[in-house]
Parts: sequence; structure tokens; C-alpha cells
Amino acid sequence: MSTRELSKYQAANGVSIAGTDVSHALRDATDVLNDLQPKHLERNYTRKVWCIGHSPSTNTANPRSLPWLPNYNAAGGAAAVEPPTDFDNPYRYKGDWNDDIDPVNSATEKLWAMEWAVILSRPSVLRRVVVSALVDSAYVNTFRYGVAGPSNHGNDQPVYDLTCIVQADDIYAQGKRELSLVPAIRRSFKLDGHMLSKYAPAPGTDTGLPAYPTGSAEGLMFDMANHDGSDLLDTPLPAGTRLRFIVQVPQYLNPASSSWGATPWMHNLWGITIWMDEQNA
Amino acid sequence: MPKLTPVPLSRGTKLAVDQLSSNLVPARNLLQGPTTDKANYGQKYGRFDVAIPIPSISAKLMEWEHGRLAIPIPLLPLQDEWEASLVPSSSTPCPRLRAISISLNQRAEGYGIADYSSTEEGKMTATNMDRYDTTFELVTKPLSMTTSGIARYARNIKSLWKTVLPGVDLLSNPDATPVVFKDLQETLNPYSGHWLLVSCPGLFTVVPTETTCAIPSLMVVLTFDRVLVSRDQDMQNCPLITGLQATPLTLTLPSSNALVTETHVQGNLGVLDAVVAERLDAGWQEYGEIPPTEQTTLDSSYSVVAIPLWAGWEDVRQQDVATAGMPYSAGPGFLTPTADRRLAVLPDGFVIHHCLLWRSQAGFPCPLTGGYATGMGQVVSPTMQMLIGLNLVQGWNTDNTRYQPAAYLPLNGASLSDNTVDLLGQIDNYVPYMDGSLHYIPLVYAAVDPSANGFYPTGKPIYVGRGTRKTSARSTIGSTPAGPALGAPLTQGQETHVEARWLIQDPAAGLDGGPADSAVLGYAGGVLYIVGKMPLVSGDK
Repeated sequence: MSTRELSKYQAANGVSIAGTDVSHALRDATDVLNDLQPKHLERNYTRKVWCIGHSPSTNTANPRSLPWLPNYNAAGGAAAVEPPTDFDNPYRYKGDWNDDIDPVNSATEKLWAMEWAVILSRPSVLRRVVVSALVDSAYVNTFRYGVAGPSNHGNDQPVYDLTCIVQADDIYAQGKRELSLVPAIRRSFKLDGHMLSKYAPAPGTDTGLPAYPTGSAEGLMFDMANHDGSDLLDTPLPAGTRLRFIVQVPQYLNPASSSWGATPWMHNLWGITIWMDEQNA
Repeated sequence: MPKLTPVPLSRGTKLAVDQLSSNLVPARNLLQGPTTDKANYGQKYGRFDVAIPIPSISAKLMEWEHGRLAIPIPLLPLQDEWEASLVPSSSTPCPRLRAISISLNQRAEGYGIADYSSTEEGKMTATNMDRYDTTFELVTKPLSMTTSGIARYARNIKSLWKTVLPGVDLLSNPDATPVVFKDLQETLNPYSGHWLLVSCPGLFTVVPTETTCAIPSLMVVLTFDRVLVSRDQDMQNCPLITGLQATPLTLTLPSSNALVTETHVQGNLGVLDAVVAERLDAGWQEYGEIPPTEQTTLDSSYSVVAIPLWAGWEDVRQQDVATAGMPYSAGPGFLTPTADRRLAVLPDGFVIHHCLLWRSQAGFPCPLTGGYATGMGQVVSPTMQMLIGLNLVQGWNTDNTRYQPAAYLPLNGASLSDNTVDLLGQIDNYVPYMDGSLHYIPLVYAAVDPSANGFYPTGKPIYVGRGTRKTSARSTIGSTPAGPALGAPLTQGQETHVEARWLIQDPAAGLDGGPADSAVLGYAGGVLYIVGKMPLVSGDK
């Protein structure tokens, strides 16, 4: 079989050249070049960028949590299930995890999850997921444990308790989590090793428009692929896949356990950037 | 360059040199590029998404009988495709709607999520799902922007696509959602207004014993396709590298009256074949590089990046509520600005052509008076200001933070109508029934450049991306629309991400200075849209 792209015609050295063969070979070549297909092109994928975000209200007197959802995993986790009682746990949330939150928890120790789902209309490749959690004078989070932190973490030590998960549900049984693919997950990592900038931006560097009340952005920003995106996620996904992007923060029994406090979703400006590649057609 | 024209060999004709050269030379010229034209492509379309995330639709939005969320979907042409008449010409690329997907968070369980009016916000609840039928509709209308002013809020609206998802499926059947509607085929006028309408009147209930539900984490993705485009070379912040190199391809053609040998046929075809086997390449790549030889011209796709700003229930930021939850601004007085910002990471080589802003004006009853009397979502203080900007940023994983403004728009005064492109309302020219507005945010520029095109005066397209020592040298860029002379980019050719900002202030009357029932921001806040060219990428990168 010929490995040639333009024509299968190959003449051995010294062979007689037949005009018909030459004509066909040349016609083959022009036909290919007149109808270039994606396989002939190095770059035949379109990149899509999705941005998701949530800026919590700073109203601490009357905090609103949606789209963040409280999350207990114990079957009887809710002390008072309101009628109709056709399910045991109205705070059940599948697929969550945190090393320091007891899964058989009380009503005041739990995880808070923000989940965004997207269903794919065509086969796609998940390339990159970047999560940001900005801090400033209105959104205060030092990403540190407090005096009443978990026993295995000392006071003022960096927290490890943010979890970010990308799940791709099975297209034929999207409710069965045991069949889900997990293209990316970050958990139990030292958050202050992934700050937007290693050092606070120098005064006067915020030349952006409009001038922001607290100057340059600071806080957490990390790539669920490599730190700079040079080693991208590379997960092909079939059409019909439900992708779920989940961010989970902890609420400990004692709010003094960490800088997440009693309302952990309110301490950051949240952002997620997703890159998806799709072959041109 | 037109398609190659094969020159067939007639039966019985003596094989001559011309038969070879007349086929091989045009093929060589094409492959040593960059001359491959659109006519040579078997495929020309790339898809793009407009992905709109809405953190939560609450029952309160639906308490008003006109309650709905209306989100503009900008599809305007790129700067180099612009028609001053705002009427598509025969060469204007028109996007085609191909798919709509709808997803929402319901803990992946078959129940509704309790709204904030419940004492247990966010829990699963099994109320009567029949009342949660939710309508999604895409409509088109003439742009409100005309040469004689801004009008036509609710005129000539045509439905392009509509579906009603039954509440029992949407909220109580985990296998029914998310849902995707594929194989749509609707060609759209890029100079028209397009709006996505979302309504679920049953979310609100006056029955006190029944839990009200919310729709949290609603994600609607509209997928379009559109013809591929060529990369820009005349931009602000453009890498100063020599582009469009042609690599000579040497053919060995027989001289006149010489004997045609296999070398002349197979050898020459092999030269061309090697180029094709390497796959034809072109376009901006990582770190601002371009391939040594660019053989194609269709190396980019149309792209819309939607960056949500503000979010959630308190985003309406009622002027009458002392605890409105506006960051950086506190009562009494609210004289200091409140603001929001969002970071996004764009691929190297993305080129910004336009920026637009959706300002939601959807409202809900004022908690103090419960009414809508004087213009929900409308700010009437003459000293009110909204300042919206997009900035290139150098600083992620570095100790050298730098900001370079890319687009900026101040909305001033009682109407906040600067650079309005489109409006949608439910009663024509009656402000209290306004759903929202779409504004054009000009790119930075100094003097007006006749080659820069948009709905309002704007700057030339802006390159975004990281650079190496070779590619970090950039062309000049403006500092603000109609600003001082262009200068070197402050980000030094090292853009790691972009930052969208939206600041609201009323230093004279304060953010609570409006009348009762008015609000600073409509429900769900808004979205900053970036419209531009996305470089195509390899399947393995």
C-alpha cells in the first residue's frame, strides 16, 4: 500500500513511463490539493473558552448561598426532614470528598459545593481548567487554619482543604457515579503554593481600567493541568457527555477552624475558565 | 488563488514536458505558500459557543408577572468583515445556530432545590413539580441602535427557537436533564439582536406551606458554526516577528525535448507529497510563534468568550437596602464604589476584535415597598456611573504584575445609555418593562483609525498571549479609547490572562440615592463578551 498522500502512483527506476499513468497521478495530486480535508491540516480543531463565575454577596447579616449547596453525606444527616419525606437526606451530594470533614457529620459541619454542568453536543477534547479564588478587603481569606483547626493541622498553617473535581458522566448512565470518568481532580494540596502571584503586586502596578477599589487582583489561581498549562489535559469525550465542574469548600464545626469561617463560599470571588477543543467539520 | 486546474493528457498524445509542468508547478506554488485559498478546502466551518452561566434563578424573579431573564447573544462580524451600513453584504459571514444545550445543578438527584426564601436554602425538596415548566426561547429583532437614536425595545421580535421543558423532567427526573437540542440549522443575521429568554413562572408561589424552588447553576450553551477566517497581522500588541515565510520547493522538470523519466514524475510528486504528509500549517501558536512556513490561510475561527460579572440574588443591589451586600461600599451613604471582577485565561494568539456588555435590568419586588412603580433596574441619579473594562494582565505565577487596558466604557448619568447597541423590553419605549441592554465597549485607541470598525469608534484588534524573548516585542497599543498616543504595551508581551472589571459608583448621591423600588443592577448582573479570532489548534495539543 502506498504511503503517499497525493497519489498512489509509484514508478520504479528505469521503468517505462506510460502517459496514462502520469496523467492519473497528476490528476490525483490536483484532486487532493483542491479538496483539502482536516487530516491534511495540522490545525483542524477549534478551541472554545467557557468562563464561569460567582461573586458572592457580602451581606453577612443575611447570607445567600446559591449556587453553593450545603452537603451532608450521612443518610440521616438532616435533623429535620420536611414533608414530603420521600428521601432520607435532602442534602445528599454524590462524589464529594474532604479529608477533614467527617462524612457522618452534624448540621453545622459540612461541605459546600458549587457545581456547573455542561452537556456536549459533539465529541470534544477537554484541554484546560483554571480555577481562581480572589481575595481582597471585601473577600477575606488567608487560606490558613485557625486555632480550632483539624487535629492534624496547626494554627496558622496553610490549608489543604479545597477540592476541585471535573467529572464526565457516562453517556448511557449519567446518574451512575461509579461509571463516571474523572478527567481532573485537585484535592489535598497546599493552597498557598498556588497563589496568583508569589508576591503582592507592587504599589502602582494596577494600571487597569477602571481603577479597582483594592488594586491588583490577588488570591488563588491554579491550573488543573500543569501550573502554566504547558501540559494540557487531554481527555477526549463523546457527544452526549455531561461534564460537571465542582468546587468544594469546607465548613468546620467551629468557624475558628480555618479562614473559610462559617460561610466559606463568601470569602472569595470565584472564577473557572475551561478550554474545550472540537474538530472542525 | 483559485483551485488548481488539472491538465489531462489526451489519449494518444505524446508525453511532453508541458504536461508535467502545467500540473506540477501550480501545485508547487500552492504548497510553498502561503497561498492556499478557501477554494482548496473540503471543509471551511468551525464551531463556536456562547456559554452563559447563570448562578441561580430565584423565585423572586418570577413573582412579577413579567418576570423573565433575557440574555443577549452577540454575533456581530469581525472588524475586517464590517459593513458600515450594518447590513450584511454578499460576503458577510453569517453564523448558523447548530445546537443548544441546557444544564442545571440539582445535586444530580431528581428533586428541586429550595430557594433562599426557605429556611434551608439549597436542600432537595419534593414540591409539586408540575408548576416548574420552564421556557427557553431564542428570539431575534432589529438592533435598537439606529442612525436616529435608540428605540425599538420590543418591536419586530421573531422567535427562532423555543422549547418548554416540563417541570417534572427539568427538576425531578435526573435522566431528563441536561438536555441538548442538536441538528439545528438556522442562519442568523450578524447585525440583528439575538436574545435568549428564560422564564419559569411557577418558581414563585404564594402558598406559604409549599417550598419555593430555585434553578441554581443554570448553564445554557448555544453552539454555532461559521466560516473559518485568516489570522490578523495588523494589530495592537502584535508580536513583531517576520511572518508568512515561503519555503522554496524545488522541482526537477525535464528540459525541452528531454526524455521524461520516473524522477520527473515520482520524484516531483514526492517533493510535494512530503509537504502534505507533514500536514499544512499556519496561524498563531503558543508564545506568539508562527510556523516557519504557512501554507494555509484559514487558520482561525470566530470566537465568543462570555465572562459573567456579578451574580446571585443580591446582585440586584437594591438601593433601599442598607445591607445590600455591595462589596467595598457600605451604608449609610454608599458613597464609595462597589465593584466586581473576573479572571479568564485566553489561549495564546487570541485576537480581540470587539467587547460588549450585557447589563441586566430584570428586577423583582423591592423588599421595602414590594412594588415596581418607578423603573425596576433603572438608575435615575444623574451622577450614577458604571465603568466597565477589560484588561490584559501579566502576573500569574510571576512577581511582576502588570495591567494593560484593552477595552473601556463609562456609562454615565441617569440613563446609562452610552454606546447602546440593543435593548429588549416587554413594552416598546416603556422603561419599567425593560429586560436589559447591550453596550459596545470600545477597544483602546488614540486617533480614530479608519481601519478599525465597530458599532461605535473603537481601536484596532488586540493580540493576547504570552511571549518568548523572540515574540515579546510587540507593536504599540492605546491606553484608553480616544486616549493619548499609542505606546509600548505595559504587559511587556507576556499576557498570562485577562481581567474584566465592572465598577459602580455615585459619589454625589450615593448608591442608595435613587428612588424607592429602583435597583443598581438587574437580576444576574451581566456579562462581558469578548468577540475575536481564535487560532485553530492541533488535535494533540
